[in-house]
Amino acid sequence: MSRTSSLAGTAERAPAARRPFRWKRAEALLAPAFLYYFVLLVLPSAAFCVVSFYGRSDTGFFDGVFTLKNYVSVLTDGFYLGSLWLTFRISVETTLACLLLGYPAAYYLAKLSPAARKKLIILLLFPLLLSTVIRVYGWIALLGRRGIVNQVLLSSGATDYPIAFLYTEGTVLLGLVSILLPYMIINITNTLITIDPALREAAAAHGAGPFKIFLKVTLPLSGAGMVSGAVMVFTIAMSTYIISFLLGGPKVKLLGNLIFDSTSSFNWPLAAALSVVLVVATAAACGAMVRLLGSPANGMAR
Amino acid sequence: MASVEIAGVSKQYAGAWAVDRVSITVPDGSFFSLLGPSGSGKTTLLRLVAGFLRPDAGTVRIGPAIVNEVPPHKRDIGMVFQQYALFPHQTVLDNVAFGLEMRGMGRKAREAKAREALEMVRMAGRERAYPKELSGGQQQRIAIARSIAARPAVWLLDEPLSALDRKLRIEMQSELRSLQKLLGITTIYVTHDQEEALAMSDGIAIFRDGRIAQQGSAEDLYERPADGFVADFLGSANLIEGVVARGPQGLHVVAEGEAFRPSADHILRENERVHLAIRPERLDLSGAPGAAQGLPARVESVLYLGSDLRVVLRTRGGALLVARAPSRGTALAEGAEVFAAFKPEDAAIVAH
Ligand SMILES: Nc1ncnc2c1ncn2[C@@H]1O[C@H](COP(=O)(O)OP(=O)(O)O)[C@@H](O)[C@H]1O
Ligand SMILES: [Mg+2]
Repeated sequence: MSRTSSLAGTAERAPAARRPFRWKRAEALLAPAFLYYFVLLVLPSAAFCVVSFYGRSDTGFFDGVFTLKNYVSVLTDGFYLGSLWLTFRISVETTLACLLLGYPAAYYLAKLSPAARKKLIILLLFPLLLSTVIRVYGWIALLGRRGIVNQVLLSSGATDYPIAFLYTEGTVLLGLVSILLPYMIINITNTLITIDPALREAAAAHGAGPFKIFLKVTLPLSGAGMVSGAVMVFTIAMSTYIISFLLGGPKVKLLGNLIFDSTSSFNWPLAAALSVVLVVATAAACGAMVRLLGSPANGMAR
Repeated sequence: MASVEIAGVSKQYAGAWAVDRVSITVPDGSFFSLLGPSGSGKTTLLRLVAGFLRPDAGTVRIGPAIVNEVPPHKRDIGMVFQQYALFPHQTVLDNVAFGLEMRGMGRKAREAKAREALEMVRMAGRERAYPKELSGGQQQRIAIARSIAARPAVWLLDEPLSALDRKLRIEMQSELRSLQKLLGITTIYVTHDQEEALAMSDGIAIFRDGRIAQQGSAEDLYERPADGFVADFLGSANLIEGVVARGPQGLHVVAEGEAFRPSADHILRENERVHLAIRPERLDLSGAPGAAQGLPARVESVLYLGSDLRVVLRTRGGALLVARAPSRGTALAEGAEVFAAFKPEDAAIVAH
C-alpha cells in the first residue's frame, strides 16, 4: 500500500516541463508511419468516398455530377444486396469454422512447453510462405472436374460423372478456412498462454473438475483471443477477392469480386460505393462482435 | 472436519528431493505451520496435500482416507495462494461463491453463504466489484473468503500474507487465527516468517532442504531447539562452542574455560561437541561476575532500537554475542567490560 502511494506520488511530482518534451518525441517516432498511411491510405479512402457520390463517365473516372444513385442501386438492387448477404454469411461461417477447428488446436499448443510450441507455430505459419494464389490453385488441382478427388471417385466407381465441387459456396468456405485458420489459432494460443496457471489450480482446489475448470476459467479468459481472432478472420474473409474468384468463379460472387467487376467495366463510382458499403458493414459487424463478447465477464477487462 | 496425516512423504524434481521422507500429523481443528527458508520444500509439501502433486513415496491422509490418488477437486479443501489467484472475470461475490457453486449449491443459497464469508473477512459491501478494483490487502481478504465459504475440511495457505506490508500483515495474522478458531478448521500454513509461525501456530515444522529439522509446539522449538539451524532460524540465537565434560556434579558443558550446568531436560554424552544457544533477550548484562554463570565480554557496539538496545559483545574466547537490553536503565559504552550472564534453563544445548 505504501508502495502504491509512493508511486502515485512520483507521478504527481513529475515536472510539468518534461511532459510536452516526451510527447514531442513520441510524435516524432509516429510521424513516418503516420505520413505513410495518411498519404497512401487516408487520402485515397477519402477520395473514393467522394467519388462514390458521382456518376460514371466514359472518358474519365467520374462525371462530376453529385448523385446518390450508386448507393440507391447497391442498397436496393437484389443482385448487390444478395452478394452482400452472401459475403456476410460466408464470412460468419468461416469465422465460426475457424473458431471450432482452431480452439482445440490452440488449447493443445498452449499446453506444450514453450520450445515445443515454438516449433509447431513455425510449422503453422509455414503455409503463409506460399502465395494465396498458389495454395488456392492447390484446391483446384484437388477439386476440379479433372482434379485428383474426381479421378479417384471416377476410377473407384463411386460416381459415374465428375462432381462439380468448384464454383460452390462450400468450396469457397473450404478455401477461406484453410487460408485463415492459422490466424485464429495463433490469436487464441497467445491468449491461452497468458492465463495464470494458479487460476486453474484455484478452481481445482475449490472443487472444479477438469471440465468445469475449462468452462468457468479457461474459456471465459480466452474470450479476448477468440474476439481478436474472429475480428481478424472475419475482416479478411469479408474483403476476400482472389479466393472467391478462383474457387467461386462466376457462380459465387462476393462483394470483393463485384468491386473488381465494376472497375473492369470502368464504373469507378459504383466500385467506390460498393467499397464504402463493404467497409461500413465489416466495421459494424466487428463492433457488434467486440461489444457482444467484450465484457469483463469474457476476460476482456484483464 | 478432519485431521491430516502425512506419513513418510517424498517428492523429487529432476533427481533432487524437494520433500524428503516427511511425516507430520495435524490433529483435527489445529493450526500447523510449515516454516523454513525459501526453497526448503514447504510449497511442495502443501501442493502434495492439496493434490496438485502426487507423492513419489509415502501417504497423505485426510481424515481416515488415504488421498494419494484423489484429485484436488475431490479433497474438500480450501486454499489461499500467495498471489491471491482470484478469477479476474468474476465479481467478488462470484469468486467467493465459486466453491459453493462447484459443490452444486443453488444461486440464492450460495450467494447468502458467500455474503456470510465476506462479512467474516470484513469485506461486505464490495460484492459487485471486480478483483482488479481492489487493493492487494482487500484481494487477499477475498481470497480468504473464497477459501472458507464452502467450509472445507482442510484449509491450506501458502505464504498468504507475504505480499502485504508489515502493519497489515500483523493485523491479518490475528484475524486469520481467530477465523481458524471460529471455524475449527484443520489448517496447514506455509510461511518463511518465524514470528508469524510462532504467533499463530499450535504446531510448527521447520524445514531445511526438504526435510524436517524439528517439529513441535512454538515453545518447544523456541526453548529447546534441536540444533543450531533451528535455534538460529527461530529468532536469532547466540551460539557458543563447547564440549561436554564430566565433573564432580555430573556432565556439564565447558566453553571458553568455564563450566556450564545444563538445565534438567538435556541428555548429554561425554566429549560431545555442542553449542550453547542463548536468545539475545536472555543475556543479562547488568550483574557482576561470579553471581551467576556467564562469560566476561567487551562491548563492541550499542544500537538504539527504541524500547531496546542491541548490544554486540565479543567474549574473551572470540565469540560474538548479541544481547538485547532495555534501553531505560542500561548505560553501556563501546569498549566497556561486562559480564554476560544467563540462567541454565535459558541456554539450550544443541548439536554442533
Ligand atoms: N516445478 C518444479 N520443478 C522443478 N523443481 C522444483 C519445482 N518446484 C519446486 N522445485 C524445487 O523444489 C525445491 C523446493 O521448492 P518449494 O517447495 O517451492 O520451496 P519453498 O516453498 O519452501 O520455498 C526447490 O529446490 C525448488 O527449486
Ligand atoms: Mg513456497
